[in-house]
Amino acid sequence: MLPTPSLEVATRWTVLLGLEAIAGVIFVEMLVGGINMWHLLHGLRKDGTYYVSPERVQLLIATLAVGMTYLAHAVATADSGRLPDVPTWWLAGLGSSQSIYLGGKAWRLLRSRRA
Amino acid sequence: MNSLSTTSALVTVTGWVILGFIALLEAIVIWLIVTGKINLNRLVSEPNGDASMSRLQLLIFTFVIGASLFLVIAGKAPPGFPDDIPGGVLTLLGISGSTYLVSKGIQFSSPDGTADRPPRVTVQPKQLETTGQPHPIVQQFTAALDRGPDQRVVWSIDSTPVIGTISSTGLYTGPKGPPAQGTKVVIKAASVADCRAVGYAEIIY
Repeated sequence: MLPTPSLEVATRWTVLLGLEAIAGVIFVEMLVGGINMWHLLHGLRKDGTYYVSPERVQLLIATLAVGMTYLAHAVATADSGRLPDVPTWWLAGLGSSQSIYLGGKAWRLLRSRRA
Repeated sequence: MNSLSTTSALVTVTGWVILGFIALLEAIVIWLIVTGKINLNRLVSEPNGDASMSRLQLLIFTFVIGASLFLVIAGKAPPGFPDDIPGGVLTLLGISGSTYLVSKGIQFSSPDGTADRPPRVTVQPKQLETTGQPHPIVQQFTAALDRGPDQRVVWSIDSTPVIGTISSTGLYTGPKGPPAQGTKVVIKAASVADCRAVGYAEIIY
């Protein structure tokens, strides 16, 4: 027993608008300071001072690039009924980016322990 | 035939009731977030109060894959779950989740990574030398509070004897006659939102 077309349309819009509204609220809260974004791109030194962390910057760029590109693919192919696959080279790039981030974090931890 | 139409009507009514409930739930959640009853301030923060890159990327990928999955489900006629979830998508979520876990592991292995630090007030200029400047000294100080949306501070002079005055906006006005050379005046900016957050600046005569 299938739901009526009007119920289908209403469901589609309700969920889509709900998801977009929650994403929008979170995005605005990030911009206006309601969600703490302090030192997102900074690392912390042993002496308590901060520095701009290249590994965090590159991870943010990689995450936004992969996320936005994938979402654009999904929007373009939504009618196919299949989730688009993620190309292997994207995964390799993202994996490398995450490894650089984790490697940098681990290295700073080791260095601060030696100091 | 009658039984079929009754069942169809029942399905439709049930569908509308469930949809109404979901819409109401969404509206309540958004309303609670907007009014601050659901506090998202530390949604992507580390235990020490700094924003977390690994939490942010996990949030972004969760939204991206969630939204994409919904678009695909809604795009099918009739709507339906896709036949398979591509391996690349699962790998992407796996990479994101693993990074988050390993990052937390590294962080929790050091006390610096978990100890909560209070918000910090930074006062500018940090130090002011008045040598050679005309008196009375007039200087505008500014304060910035990190890790908090409420930037309001209370200005005061934190050294004795109290030399000069400071306004509620951080405008310092020194005495007409300069005090003894080498006298230090300490300017204090205390956060209204968090009494632990205090910043200082110095004026050296």
